Amino acid sequence: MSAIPHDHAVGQNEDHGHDDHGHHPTGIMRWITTTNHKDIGTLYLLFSLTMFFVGGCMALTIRAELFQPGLQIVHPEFFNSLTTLHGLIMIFGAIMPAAVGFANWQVPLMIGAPDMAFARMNNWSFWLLPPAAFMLILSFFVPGGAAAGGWTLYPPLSVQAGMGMDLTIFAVHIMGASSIMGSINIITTILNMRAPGMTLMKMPMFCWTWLITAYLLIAVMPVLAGSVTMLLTDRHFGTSFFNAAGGGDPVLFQHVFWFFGHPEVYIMILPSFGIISQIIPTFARKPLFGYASMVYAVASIAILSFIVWAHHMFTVGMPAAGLLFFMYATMLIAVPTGVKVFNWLATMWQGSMTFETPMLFAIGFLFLFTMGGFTGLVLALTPIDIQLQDTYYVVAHFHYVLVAGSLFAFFAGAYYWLPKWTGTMYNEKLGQWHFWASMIFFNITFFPMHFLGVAGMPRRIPDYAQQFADWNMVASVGAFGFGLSQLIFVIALVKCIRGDGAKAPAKPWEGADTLEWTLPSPVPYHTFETPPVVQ
Amino acid sequence: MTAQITPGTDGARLRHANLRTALAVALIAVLFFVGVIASQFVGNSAVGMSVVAAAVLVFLAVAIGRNLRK
Amino acid sequence: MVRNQRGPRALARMLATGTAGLAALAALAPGLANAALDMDLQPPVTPIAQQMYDLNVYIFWICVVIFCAVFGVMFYSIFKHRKSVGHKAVQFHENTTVEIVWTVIPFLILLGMAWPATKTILAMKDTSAPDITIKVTGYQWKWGYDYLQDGFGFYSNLSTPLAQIENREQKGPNYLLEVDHPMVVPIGAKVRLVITAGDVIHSWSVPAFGVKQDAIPGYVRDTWFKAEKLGTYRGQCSELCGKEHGFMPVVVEVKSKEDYAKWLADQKQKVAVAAEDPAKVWTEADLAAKGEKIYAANCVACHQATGKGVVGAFPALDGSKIVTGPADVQIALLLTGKTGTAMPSWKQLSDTDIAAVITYTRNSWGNHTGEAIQPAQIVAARKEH
Repeated sequence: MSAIPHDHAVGQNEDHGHDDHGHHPTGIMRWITTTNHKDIGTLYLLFSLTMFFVGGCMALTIRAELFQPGLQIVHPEFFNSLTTLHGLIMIFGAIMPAAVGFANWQVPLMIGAPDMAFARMNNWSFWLLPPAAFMLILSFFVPGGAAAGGWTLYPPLSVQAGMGMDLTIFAVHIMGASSIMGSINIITTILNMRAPGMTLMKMPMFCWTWLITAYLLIAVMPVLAGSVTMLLTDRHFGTSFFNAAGGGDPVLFQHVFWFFGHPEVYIMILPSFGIISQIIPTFARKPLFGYASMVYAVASIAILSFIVWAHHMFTVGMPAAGLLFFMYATMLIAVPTGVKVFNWLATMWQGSMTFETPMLFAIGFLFLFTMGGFTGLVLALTPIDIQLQDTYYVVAHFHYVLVAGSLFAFFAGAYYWLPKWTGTMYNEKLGQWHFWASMIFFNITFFPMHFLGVAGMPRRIPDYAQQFADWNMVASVGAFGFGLSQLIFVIALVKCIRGDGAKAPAKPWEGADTLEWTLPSPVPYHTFETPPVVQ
Repeated sequence: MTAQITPGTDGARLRHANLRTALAVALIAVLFFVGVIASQFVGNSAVGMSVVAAAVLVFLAVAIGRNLRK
Repeated sequence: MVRNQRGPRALARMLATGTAGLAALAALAPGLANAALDMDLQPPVTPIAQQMYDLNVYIFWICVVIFCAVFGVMFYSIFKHRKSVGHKAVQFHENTTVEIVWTVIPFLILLGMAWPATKTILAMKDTSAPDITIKVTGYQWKWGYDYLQDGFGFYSNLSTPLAQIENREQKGPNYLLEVDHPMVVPIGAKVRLVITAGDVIHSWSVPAFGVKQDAIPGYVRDTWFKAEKLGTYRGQCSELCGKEHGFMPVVVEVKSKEDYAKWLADQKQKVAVAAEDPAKVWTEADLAAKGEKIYAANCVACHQATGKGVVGAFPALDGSKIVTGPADVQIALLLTGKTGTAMPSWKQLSDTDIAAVITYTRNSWGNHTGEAIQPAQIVAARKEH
């Protein structure tokens, strides 16, 4: 039925008789001008994978320097640039585009729509990203080097910086515009183009989480844009938004930035929650437990995420009332998050589970993301946060939720849907190796960082006191192991794309029940041109 | 905004609905951006910022809340 | 809804039993607490730090219990509810009672955590009725301590030699955590710190005291501590402030009341002696010798001991037009800094110190201007800048 793709990545399916759309460009022009949600999804995912390795190399350089006390490899200023760009690239270049890639591929398929609402704007949303990434990387080579104030760009330090900071600000504006356009597309598609019979409360959880994520993006990306614009004008146009001498306040930036920044972390995790909510029911062969409360939980997490921002600023010198409010509000988010964890567990409970690679990553997510949640709760408690703010405990916390959380969920989703996208089953042995290697090395890298944090090691330092040496060495070894393990994924991915593996049936997963599994594998280039009717 | 429109047969209606949704959402994004910066110039900046922040929260509650009832 | 022995109710029962069992275990085995040493904060030396320490232990064990209960259930499920052992899926998918239970119970647990935390926050923020007030100023890259009531102040610079950082020498025991002039306080006194910064945001932190407060330029924030043990306590700057962020530690010596009084008297005397007359005329050799020390404490990080700077980042002083050209240009640069670069203003140094370091740069390495810059020139230049 379906031709196994050879030279082109996915979806190139000549023998399906859709010749009325006939003359698609081929080669490079195909990818530059495509308005097809599957192609654009692929572009986002491959871009994200590339940026993941670029940011990963920066991380390995950081860990190489931190292998032992003393300065061995890089100058302190360059080290600061590495930590800054590692953060920016991973957040804006790897995690967020990967989530959008999954959305592009899956949302139309799961709601029975032929494509996204604005197919051409979709193309533009993607193609804004490579220039922005190029600007970030270019910033290493301009006089003064890349921005070195941390990905959080606090003034006055960021006002002091050279041209690299301006490049970063422009890149952030461009990526923000891309996200906003993508979100407009997703909201419009989900609200207006669902197949008949698919009410919102019948929609797959992945679509729900992306709908809410899209609203979050619309709400906060403009705020980020506002804050970095003010930074730009303080740097070059004589304003003093963040300069006390001119009547401004450096802490204002922190408030505006974190008003964006906290919802941003939920923007990075909610799509992953959605993926997990598709995978666990499939491999437990049971419906998702408590669908309605899962939806309400995601909605409440999203709304609560707006009133907790100052927990990133507990040491800034807030009055007690502020400390108390933000502590209570932050702790409150643990409740809906806990509900989700329990619901996933209840989905597994009394199921008939098998443990193919997607399920392995989903369980790994459940286990490690929850650990990250616990350390988040610890950090929410202001008195403890005073001791842990700006230490490696924070670094451990957010890597647990973003890497073992978001990234593992993306791997789960990739293995889950690759058979559908490419028509080829991925190699299960490779998937298992990838999972176990990632799992083990991830923990070797990041678990010791909790110890470093409670012992008092600050973040963003290229050199450290002797008592921190042992755990740093362990973490550095783990980091290299983790980095190398990701190459296993690349091998598995390339084999899939090349068709080197078993042919995938329409429904390779026994327990899968969403619309995309009713389509052939690989999915044809155009799908659901006549919408299905949903019971 | 329901999805009882079958695309392909009612293309024009769908396109208009999509455009309306998109413009509404885009307008909100623009308003927030302008609001963040304008709040620094108009009157007491703390008050201005709080207004923008509250607007963001209200938007979110309404946008998500409307969909929860369907 | 399927009423089922093995359904969600059973799950909830299992969770509850698991939690109770583990809580009992934790209560019965206090010795286990020692095993978690690596998860403990630094030994506390103030009452507030003690509260933070205790809260951390309390929360840690609550998390461990919940973790074991929840994942005990998960691993049980992974073993028992598998297709490969023939288990068939039971098709329940909602249970409102159970959902309410596992929403309310976590909420109650959170209340239990919030209560002690609230008390500590209120105590932390009470800076009233201090015995001593010290002003702390963060600079790139050192701390300034001003004893406001006693009329003296000093800088506190990292004293670890560059040779150790660059791996040319064995690292000392307090590597990166030692300074030339620590803050000194008496034991048992309530010390209020008023904290600000001279350039960018820094953060003053001593974990053993439970203190961490951001230093924000143009604003003053306060915090307090009351040290209850003698000793030397160390911390580090805790807000990224540029290149040398990792190299500006905080060191506080807690002395007995008598030793503190002696130290205080000593400091006041030093201040009187060192209050150099800016009208004094120095020889070039004396200025350069003094200047070399100033250079080593303040300039070497960027411009290097060789005066050659770092290509592409920090300009060389050896052979520099500014250093070998007209003196007033170099004086102005030191007083105002250079915006858009990492070169800060050094106006906080004394007139004599600035004169000395300029003289040193003008007469070292390949520079031989033969000039001696006098403190009086700096005094005059300040009027213009």
